[in-house]
This record gives sequence, structure tokens and C-alpha cells, in this order.
Amino acid sequence: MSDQQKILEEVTGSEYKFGFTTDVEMEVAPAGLTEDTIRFISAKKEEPAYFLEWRLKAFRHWKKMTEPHWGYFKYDPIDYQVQSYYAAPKQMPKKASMDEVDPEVRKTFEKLGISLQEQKRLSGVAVDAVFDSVSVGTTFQKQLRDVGVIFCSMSEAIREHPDLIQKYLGSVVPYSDNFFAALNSAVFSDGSFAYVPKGVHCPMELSTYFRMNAQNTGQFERTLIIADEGAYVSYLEGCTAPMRDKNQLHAAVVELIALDRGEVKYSTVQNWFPGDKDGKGGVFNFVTKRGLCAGHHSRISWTQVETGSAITWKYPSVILKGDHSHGEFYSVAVTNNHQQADTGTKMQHLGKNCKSRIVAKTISAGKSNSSYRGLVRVAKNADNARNYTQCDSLLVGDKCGAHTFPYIEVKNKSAQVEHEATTSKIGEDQIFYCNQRGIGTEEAVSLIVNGYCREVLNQLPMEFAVEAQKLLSVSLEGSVG
Amino acid sequence: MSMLIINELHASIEEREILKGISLTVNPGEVHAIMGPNGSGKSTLASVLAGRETYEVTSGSVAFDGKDLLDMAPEERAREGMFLAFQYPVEIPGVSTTNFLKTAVNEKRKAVGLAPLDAVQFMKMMKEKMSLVQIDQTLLSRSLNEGFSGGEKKRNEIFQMAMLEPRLGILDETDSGLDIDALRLVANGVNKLRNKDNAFVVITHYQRLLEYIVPDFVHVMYNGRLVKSGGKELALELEDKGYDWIKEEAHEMA
Amino acid sequence: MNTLESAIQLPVRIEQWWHAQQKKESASPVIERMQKAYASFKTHGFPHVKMEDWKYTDVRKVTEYPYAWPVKNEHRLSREYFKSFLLAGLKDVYRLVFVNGYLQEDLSILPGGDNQFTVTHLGDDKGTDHYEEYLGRVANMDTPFTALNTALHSDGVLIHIKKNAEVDKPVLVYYVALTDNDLYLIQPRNIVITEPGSKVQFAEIFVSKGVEPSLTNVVTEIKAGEGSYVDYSRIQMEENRNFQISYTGIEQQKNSRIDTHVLCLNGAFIRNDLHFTLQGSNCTSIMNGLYILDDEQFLDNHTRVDHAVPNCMSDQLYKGILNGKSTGVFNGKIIVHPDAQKTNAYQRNVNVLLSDNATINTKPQLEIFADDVRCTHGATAGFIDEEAIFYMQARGISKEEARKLLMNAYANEIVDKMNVEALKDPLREYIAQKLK
Repeated sequence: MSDQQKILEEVTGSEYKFGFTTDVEMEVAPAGLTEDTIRFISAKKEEPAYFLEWRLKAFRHWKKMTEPHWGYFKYDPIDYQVQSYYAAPKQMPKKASMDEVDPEVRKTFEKLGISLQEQKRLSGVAVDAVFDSVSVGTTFQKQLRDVGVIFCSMSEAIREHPDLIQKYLGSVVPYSDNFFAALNSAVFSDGSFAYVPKGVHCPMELSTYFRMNAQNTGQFERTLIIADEGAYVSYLEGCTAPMRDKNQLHAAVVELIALDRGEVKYSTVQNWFPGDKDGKGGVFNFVTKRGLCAGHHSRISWTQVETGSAITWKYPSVILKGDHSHGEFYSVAVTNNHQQADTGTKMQHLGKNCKSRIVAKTISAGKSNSSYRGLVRVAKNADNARNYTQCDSLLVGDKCGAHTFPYIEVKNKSAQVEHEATTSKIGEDQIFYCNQRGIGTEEAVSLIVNGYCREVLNQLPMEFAVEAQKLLSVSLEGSVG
Repeated sequence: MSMLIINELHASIEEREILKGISLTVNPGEVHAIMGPNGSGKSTLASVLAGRETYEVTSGSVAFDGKDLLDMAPEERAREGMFLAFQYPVEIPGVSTTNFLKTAVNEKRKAVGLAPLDAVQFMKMMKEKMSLVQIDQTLLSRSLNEGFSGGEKKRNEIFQMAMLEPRLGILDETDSGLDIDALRLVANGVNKLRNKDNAFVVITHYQRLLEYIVPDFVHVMYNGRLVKSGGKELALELEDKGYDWIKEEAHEMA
Repeated sequence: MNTLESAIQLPVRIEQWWHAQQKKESASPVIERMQKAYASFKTHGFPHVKMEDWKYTDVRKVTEYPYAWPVKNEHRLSREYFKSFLLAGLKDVYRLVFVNGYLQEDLSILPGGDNQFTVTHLGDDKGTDHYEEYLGRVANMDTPFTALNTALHSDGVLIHIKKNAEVDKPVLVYYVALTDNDLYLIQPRNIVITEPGSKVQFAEIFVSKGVEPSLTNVVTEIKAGEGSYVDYSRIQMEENRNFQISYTGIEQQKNSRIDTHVLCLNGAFIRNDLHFTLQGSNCTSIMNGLYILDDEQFLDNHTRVDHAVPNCMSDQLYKGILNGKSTGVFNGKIIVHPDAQKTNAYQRNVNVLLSDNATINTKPQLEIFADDVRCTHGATAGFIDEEAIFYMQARGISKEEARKLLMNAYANEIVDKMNVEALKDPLREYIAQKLK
């Protein structure tokens, strides 16, 4: 076995370091999905009646739908009746103090590098920590409230801000949108809500950390972020799950809204358990993320680093409705072993003078398959639309696949839409060049991969960028075919 | 009669004012140099004179041989005898220089009531002008400017100028990116085209080009205005002292 | 045609034609293959927009007409009449002419005696060895229209280029649709075999005249032997009432090279499938395409290259100009199979929209399963380069003239790449007319 192969083995065999489980007493809904399950969840969360009605409508709609299978992946059928749709640590925190959070749960987050304790909090980052189905705490709420920013769990928002919820929830992703969005609308248990009022530049990064712990439980969180006129918010999402040998289902919905001159920047580092090296276990990640540039000169930007999950089905999109609005999508998707990722974006140009930019980088290793699937649509009245798409694939080894499915639909003559894509591998000459300058092979690969992803990583807030770089190195360094 | 009279010309792009009141008169037989630091508005002036639509003229007037220049489409200005040598000549794949120029020459002839040149006459004219500016035949059969080196592009601009015989030639940073040999070739071409009936406006950042194309007047542009004018010795002074003293003077005046 | 008949839907009529044809045939391996194809067509029916490959192409627009089955020898062209068609008067060529799907042999120009290549008229005799050896060997039977053609083609020829032969003149195949009296479903089928080391230029030209629509569903199979070189052109210039669905299947053996030039210059509705299967290493596959659409014309170009073996190169450039209320679709698929290392695949689709009512849907697609490959693809939709227009204006050329120059240059890049010299000038002229 050559050195390079050895390193490849080591790396691809390396263990998922967030795979520990937390021993905490849980309240779990009985497995299965009926209208009663939904009433149970709604009651647990003390939701107003209007909300239960909405959930039930979504559920009835979902029952009529079929699971989509156009993605570039294969998996055994999902039985929606064997898993539980609600799991929460028994000792529920009351939001008054973080100290009431179950110490085991708190320790879990600390192990993940997320401190909920006053003194150790990440400076300048407010965190909403979600453990299985519920939010266990949101930091810096007071400081945010002082400038008028609302940042809380979705459950709290449903109770405390019904006007905003009724106006915006489901306005970008209606429950009828797709199979998984309907399922999420029916059963979602918690998530984050942020509202930044007119003219406010949110003084710190908002962040949610999702931890999936319980066995045989799906996670269905719901996030809604609104930047009112002239407001700005940057939001970070992180996630991990323990190693379980059964597949876990994750079906989230994220809605972003930017009004006139409003801006939302949404960053994700997704590191759900990808399954072991034989493809056993891992999270099925079916996520609907969509932003609406509702106002003129509004701006929505998605940045994602996707390293986890056995299956990823995710297309963070932007509807450019307001004139002069901007949509951006920056993505790095890494697949290894038996992972399958089908991810990309949609940029829908409706308003005039809108711009969108897509930079998607996929890296495939092991026996994995990674696909970019994107749509750029320019409607008839969307004058002067501009889109630039760059889409690159890097293959590591000869047992993986990289695929590109870009759709471009243009109905306006003033549009300029450009798509470019390349496929490459890490060249032996590149490695040799590094070696010759005294850089080891592992280091060289890490260097090259990071360079390859630079454009996307640069979009991430500092702390996330460091985390993301480490993640990339862990999953890929040295794996030269 | 003066050939070109620019009077208090203001122009802006996307609501940002670039030209803030330019006045300049050019008579037949004269060569004017416009110098100035980067971003002072030199190239904007050239573009506005040629009629580029991205700039909006907000006030002022330009008369060219007594006619209102600003009222004309770019091609009308060209047919009236205005020629802009582009700073960045455009590459047009699939259109050969020969075919392109034949169209341009004949459009101009049509505008002044002359019959179009047939292929033989046109080729004869090409040969004449080619020797004048020393350009290689092979360049002319290739697609317009496509894959040309910087020097080849600029020489092609001068060649086109020779073919179109303008009354007023505006050279927009024609010297940028040229080595000394290419610069000399380009300047020689211009000097051969100079006569008592035509005029040139040479826009440049450096004095270098003016050693070869000797101007009658030198103007210094800064922040959208012509802040200083003089004879060819002004160019040498600039070469010596740089632009900083001009900036200081301009600020004191303001 | 009586009203009762016209009310019968196309699949039903196809079924009737199928049974009528079956009565005439005796059992043979070819008939079996046709029966299989028909069964496949019957199972799947016509494709619909829920199928990914037909997402933008609603064939109901062309299948809901009451087509008749053209009768052999009912429509014949005089030599003079034939020459009145576009590109029909070219000299120094070999020629075959199909009228409403049937070969009209007296218009053929072929080499005499035992020359570089042979042309076998497949005609009505489904029992010939050639048929058995080659029918449906290259074409992909999953495509419903291809299956339909395999089952129910009217006529065809097999062009066989001999080993190491270099055919001295281009072989032009004309397809004339005549619809003065009736609407027709026209289904010719041709097969081209090039033996190792041979060389041929081959072009298919589609023209029409008439008052009614026709649907031409044509399949061409090309089997390129080791080291052979085929230059293939497809020129579509039917009138604005004619529909066409075409499938060209190409199989390449090692060291072979195929240049294709697909020019869609006119017609109401066109769907083209161009499918390469590279079976031997060191193959070169060139795909040049041009489409100029106007009015309510619809065109869908699907191309697919299956890189199944190492060290092959494919290079594609498709350019489009869309005006009026026209719609263009481009779907280019490059599949690099696991063992096809050292593949070089390039793909570009560029489009210019001249009208706010025109639509382009483009999808350049890569599926890659080998790591040591170089693949790039790109697609653009845009309008004319305004800087170039200004440059020309600054030289005294009017905006209108500048646009024309640019558009012609843009389109002629593809014509310039063609190798059949005789076709180039008439095509340039035709394009200039259409771009006026």
C-alpha cells in the first residue's frame, strides 16, 4: 500500500468526533404519525388554536403527497410510522436563567464548543441551543431586546408574537411547497425566530446550534428570520448528531425575508452524522431553505459548508422579487465513504435589475456521489437580470461521482446569465510541487482543498470559517487517488 | 472657424458627476495633449465626445465644425469626422478587420454622398494605408482584435484612423501597455496623418508619448476640470515634478 | 379525409398502420425486432413533460394532428421541381432524395459500378441480411419516437463505406415533405456504416413545400469503424408549418473521429436527439450546432455523449439566436463512466435573445464517475455585446448594420467549422436573409 493510499484509508476511516451520546432523561412521544401526534406536539408547546389548525392543514396535505425521488441518490424507503416526532429533555428550562438547563445538556453543548454559561459565551454571538426537539436556551436575549431585535425559540414566538408569525410563517415556504416542507409544517417542534426592526443593524451574530440526540427520533426544526426595512442580520447554524446505526430523519424548513434595503446573511456548517464507512446509519437531511427578497435593494446570501449526513437534499434559494435585489449562494459540499449529496440553489429573478451569484464547490471522495442541482430563472418582466454561476467539482479517488445539473430558463432579452463548471482532481504535480517545497502530502491536500474552497469559506464569519476549515481537513486530508 | 468648441461640459455616470465643467477649443492643424492622474476624468471626456451612452451629459455644449455634437448618434459623429482610438479596443469574434473596415468606409462615403468603394478600390486603399502605418496584412484577415497583442490592437486603431481619415482624432491612452518600439510605430503613424486640416487630442498619463507626438498645447485635468494649460514645456514640468503640485494648486484654488 | 377518420387519435391510427404492415410480413429476425420496438412504443406511448428529458417539450403540439400514412410513389418530384428547393442544385455531390419518406430513385446520383461505397435500398424487403445486421443496433430503443420509427419506418437506405475508402464527393440525403393534399407522418430510417480507415462527408437536408403540417420522425444510425472519419451535417430548413423529431445515434470504434454540424434554421417544431456512444479509445467527437429561431418556432436540442472508455475527447459548441416568440431548449449531457479515465469533454451553449417574448431553457449537464478527467461546460444567455456595437458606431457604422454584422459573425462561426464546402456559401446567404 502506498503512503497516499494509507493516508486515504486513515482519513476515510477516521471517526466522527461528535458521535457521543448524552444520557439525559427524555420525554419522547410514542412512535407514529397521526393527527393525535400533531395535537400532542401542539399541546406540549402550549400553542394557540390558530396554530394547531395550520399544522393539521399541513398534515392533511402531506398525506396526499408522495416522497420526491428525483434527487441523485438511492436509499431504502423511509417508514414515517416507526419514528417519534417529539423528544425533549425532561427538565425543561424556564427562560429566566440558563442555570436551569439540565447540566448534562449543558455539558453536551460545551463538548461541542458551544457554551451556554454567562462568562464563557462566544463574544458577539447570541446562541439559541436546540436539543432534539426543543430550544434549551437563548443567550444575549436582553442585549438584543434593547435594540429591538427579537431572537427567541420558535415556540416562544408562536406564543408571544402571533402577529409576526401569522404574517410571515409559511409565506416563503408554504406547507404545500413540497413533501418534506409539509411534513415539517405539521410536526416541527422548535427552531429559531429572529426579527430585526427597521433600520437596525443587528449588533451581533445570531446563531442556532442543533443537536440531535434521541434515538429513532426525527428532527424537524423551523426557522424564520425577518430583516425589516434597512435592517441587517447575520445568522449562523451549526449541527451535529451522535452515531446511531439507524438512519435518522431531519427535515427542516428555513424562511428568510428581507424588506426594502434589508439584508439577511445565513451561514450553515452542517455536520450531521454521515454514517459509518460502510454506509451504515447517518442522518437523512431533507431541508427546504428559501429566502424572499421582498423589498427593493434587499439582499439575501446563503453560505453553506456541507460535510455531514448520509443523504443531503437541500437547495437554499432566493426569490428576487424586489427591484435591485441581490441573491447569493456559496456552497462547499464534501462527501466521503457512502455519502450522497444532491444540493444546489434556485435563483428566481422576478424584479428588475436584480443580481444573483452562485459559487458551488463539490468534493467527492470514497464511494460517494455529489451533485450540484441549480436553477436560474429569469421571468419575462425581470429586466437587466444578471447571474453568474460557477460550479466546480473535485474528485478524490476513482470510485466516487460528481454531477452537475444546472437549469437555466430565460424569458427576457436583457438578461445575462452565465454558467461555468469544471471538474478536476488534485494533481500529482501539485502535490509534488508542495512536497518539493517541504510540505507533506497531507498538508498539501489540505492546502489545496482549502484553496479550492477559499471563495466560499471567505463568506463565513470568522469563527465558523476556522471550524469549517478544520472540518474539511478532517474529512479529506491526504486522500489522493 | 474652430473645429471643436467644448463649453462648460458636465457629465455624470449613475448620478456621480465626473466632468465638472470642461471648456476647450481645438483649431485645425493643432495637437492638444490632455494629461492628468488616474481617475481625473480624461477617458470620460473621450467617451462623452464619441457618444458613449453610459454617460449622461447634464449641461454644457460641444460644437463640432459648427454642428451640435451632443445631438448626434455615435455613428453620425464618426461620419462627421470624429475618430476615437479606444483605450481598450473591442474584440469582435468572427468579423474580420477587412470586412469591418469596408463597411465603415462605405458607410462614411454614403453619408457624404459618395459611391461605395468596390473590392478592388478598397484593397488598393488598404495597401496604401498599410504601408503608411506599417501593419501586417495577416492581422487584417483575422477577426477584429481577437487574440491581438496590446501593441497589435493599438496599431490596428491607428490603421483604422488612417483608413477613415478623420478631421479630429482622439487618442485615449493609446500609449498604455506599449513597449518603446510599438510606441514609436504608433506615433509615427499619427505624425504621418497630421496635416493643416485635421487635429488631434492626445490623452495620456505619461509624457513619454509626447516626445514622439509633439503637442501644440498641453492641458492638465484633475478632478473633472482642466486646471492648467500651457505649451509643450508643461508636459516636461509634469514629468519632472509629478502631479502632486497640481493637486495642491487645485485644492488651494478650491 | 373524412371527419370520422380525423377524429381518431394518432396512437389508434398508428395501431391500424402497424396491423396493416404486419399482415404483409412473414416472420424474420428483423420483424421480431420491429415487434419488440412496437411493444415498447405501445407500453410507453408518447413522451410527456413529466419526463425529465421532455420537461420543456410538449409533444402534444405535434401529435394531435390527424396524420395520414403517405403512400409510396403517390408524390414524385420532377428533376426541375426538386432543384427549386434550397441547397438542391449543388454540383459535384452524390445524392439521395426521399419524398414523404420514400426514396425516389430516379433523382439519385451515385457512383457507378463497384466504387468506394454501396447504397442498399431497404425498401419493402425486411428480410435482407443488412437489415438484420444493422437495424436498431446503434439507436437507443428507450426513446418512444425511435421505437416507433424502428417499428414503422416507411423506407430507408444503408450506406456502406468500404474499408480504407475515401469517398470523393459529399453524400447528400434530401428529405422533402410535400403536404399539398394531406397531413403526413413521415418516417424514414437510414443506416451508415463506415468500415475501418474510411472517410466520408455525409449530410442530411430537410426541406418542405405544402399547405398542411407534417411530422417527420427520422432515425439515422451511424456506425463508425476503427480509424474512420465521418463528417456529418444535419440541416433543417423546413417551412414554418412542419414538425420534426429526429434521432441520430452514433457509435464510434477506436481512433475514429466524427464531426457533426446540426443547423436548425427553420421549421415550426423540432426535437433533435444526438447520441454518441464511444466504444473504443482515442475517439474524437465534435458537435457544432446553430439555431436561429423566430416567430413561434420551437426547438429542443438534446445531445448525449457516453464516454465508456478511456482517452476520448468530445467538444461541443451550440449557438443560438432567438427572436419573436420562439422557444429554444438545450440539454447537453456528458456521462463519463467509471473506466473512462483521461477523458476530455468540453461543452458550451451560448444564446442571444433578440426579443422579450423569446425563451431559452438550457441545461448543460455533467455526470462524472472517473477522477482523472478534464470536463468543462458552460452556458450563457445574453444579449448583444453593447461595447462592440459602440465600437462599430464610433467607426461610423449604424447600430442596425452593427447588429447585423455581429449576428452574422456569431452565426457563421458554426458555418465556418463545416467541412462540406459546397454548403457553406448558400447557408451563409440563407442565414443573412433570416437575420434581416
